[in-house]
Amino acid sequence: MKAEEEFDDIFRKKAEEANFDFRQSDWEKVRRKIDEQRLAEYQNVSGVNYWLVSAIALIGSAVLIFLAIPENNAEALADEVVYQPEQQQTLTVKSLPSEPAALAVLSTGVAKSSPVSPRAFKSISSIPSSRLANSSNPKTQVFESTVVPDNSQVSITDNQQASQTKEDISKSTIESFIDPEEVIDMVTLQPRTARLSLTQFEGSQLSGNVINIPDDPEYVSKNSQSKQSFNAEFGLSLFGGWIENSVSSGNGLNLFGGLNYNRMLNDKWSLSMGSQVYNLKGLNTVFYQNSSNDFGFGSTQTQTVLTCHSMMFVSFPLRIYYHPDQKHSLSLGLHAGSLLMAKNTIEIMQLSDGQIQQYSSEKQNSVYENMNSANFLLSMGLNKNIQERVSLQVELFYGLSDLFADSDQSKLQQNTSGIRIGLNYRISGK
Amino acid sequence: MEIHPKLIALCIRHDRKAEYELYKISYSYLMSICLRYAKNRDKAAETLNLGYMKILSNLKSYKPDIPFKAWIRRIMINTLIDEFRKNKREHEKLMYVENYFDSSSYSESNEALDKLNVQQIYEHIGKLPEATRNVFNLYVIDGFSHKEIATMLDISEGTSKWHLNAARMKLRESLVNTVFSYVKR
Repeated sequence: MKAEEEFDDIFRKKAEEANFDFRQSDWEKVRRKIDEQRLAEYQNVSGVNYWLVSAIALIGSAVLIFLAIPENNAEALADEVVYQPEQQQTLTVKSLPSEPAALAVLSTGVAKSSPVSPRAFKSISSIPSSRLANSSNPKTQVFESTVVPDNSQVSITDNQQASQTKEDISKSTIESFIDPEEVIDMVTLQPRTARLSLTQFEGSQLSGNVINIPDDPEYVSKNSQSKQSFNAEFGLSLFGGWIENSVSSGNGLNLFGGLNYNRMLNDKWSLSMGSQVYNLKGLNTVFYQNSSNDFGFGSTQTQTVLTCHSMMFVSFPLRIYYHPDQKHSLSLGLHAGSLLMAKNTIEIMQLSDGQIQQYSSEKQNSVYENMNSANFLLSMGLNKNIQERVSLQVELFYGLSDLFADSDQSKLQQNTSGIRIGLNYRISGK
Repeated sequence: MEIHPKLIALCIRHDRKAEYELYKISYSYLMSICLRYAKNRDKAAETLNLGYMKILSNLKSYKPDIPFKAWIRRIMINTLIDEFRKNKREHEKLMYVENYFDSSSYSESNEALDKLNVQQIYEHIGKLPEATRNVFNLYVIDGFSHKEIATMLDISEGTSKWHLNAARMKLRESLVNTVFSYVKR
């Protein structure tokens, strides 16, 4: 062996023999660093995911709006439909924003049909009246009990935006269905009543007056339920909270709001999904506590306490509705929520021989690891229509998730159970 | 150094007692590495703690088929090199010297080296310039090749060789001086 290698070998052997006494002070230093590191790690454990969830919710809502708004508003745009057979024998449609809409109104007001596309309308107008009367097509059935004359004179007026083509189509269509000999002097169809059929007009004692045709339960049953709708909901939540170490937490009033897309599965059942934001205030929950000791001359203890005061969740409710009648509906739902933000206080105390030497407190809006980011709720609700577009909803809900991870300090199940009272507003439907 | 898999599992779950136990068990070994690279014990303890935190946070990726001792040694050395890179000063980079000692003079220093205890040897290593010390430790004690050292320290292989020779030269010189001065007394 070369002397050079021998030199290296001696060093290597000596280094392997090395033995060093353990120093407790070194451990205390690393323990503090570990605490600091974990505290930092707890913070914003999945901040990116929350942004992602929020972005998905936003995009999802936008898609829902896009899906729900087009082709609808048969009722919304039928501000006024006037039939004036004696004066002008003219069907007047006001405030028509577009051709399909205008045609839909005409088809609805005159012939009791749900929104009809221009193509469908053209096809109806081209069918001879005799065939219409016996048709089994849902869009043409409405004409079965309607007297269809041959020499009607009906035109669209007061629609500056309507194109020539639209007027032509409308004239050709309407002319086929209106009887100038009818005793009706003037009929004003309000948005809802516009759905009534001419059959019902005939049954009414109409003579020279503007009338409002009353609600027809049968009509409402078949037509007022939009197959799809887009709703906004908002209101108050009352959480039950929990009691921990003789301190109540998580109880009180909170706000919620959201957007939902609803689709009728059949006459009685519908399915709804959407996004919702709700908060949970009144928390006083210590979810992280750590104390460490330094032993020198006497002892020094450092305590770190994290307390959560409020939380904000974004959730995606999936509800199934049962509609026993037109005014009421019952719901069952599952709400998959994700913690968006939490308001916390971080307290750090340094005690020397039991006396507080230093105290610092800081408020932070962040999500820590000891918080459960997922919050699942089960809900059961009752909705009652209080206006055409507005319904009152009462919902009982039960939290399936523990909001905070179990720790040495607490193994309590902290969940969000309570009651919600809110309003549901139908933004659009088709 | 025997580490029970259960202890590792507990450390992964952030069990404080287990973390303390692991620290205590691996302390001497890690300190022996750190002290070779650091100038003094305080600095060594600081780096040791940094490396231990890395060990804890990487425990999930530890595979039992690798000896735990070798695994923590690699993490510790990487930590030390990272620290060195952060603190690397330009003027320490290169100071070439041309005179290489011939191997005949090693017998004297090898004798001196045998007489010294571990503590003294560490002191001698600690007296080397930082870059030279690191190359010496990496090559002689930790068994890395010049190529690996060059990559780790971001230097050329030639520079690594030069640092190794410089380290040997300075260590021999200081070892012989120490032993002779001790004998003279």
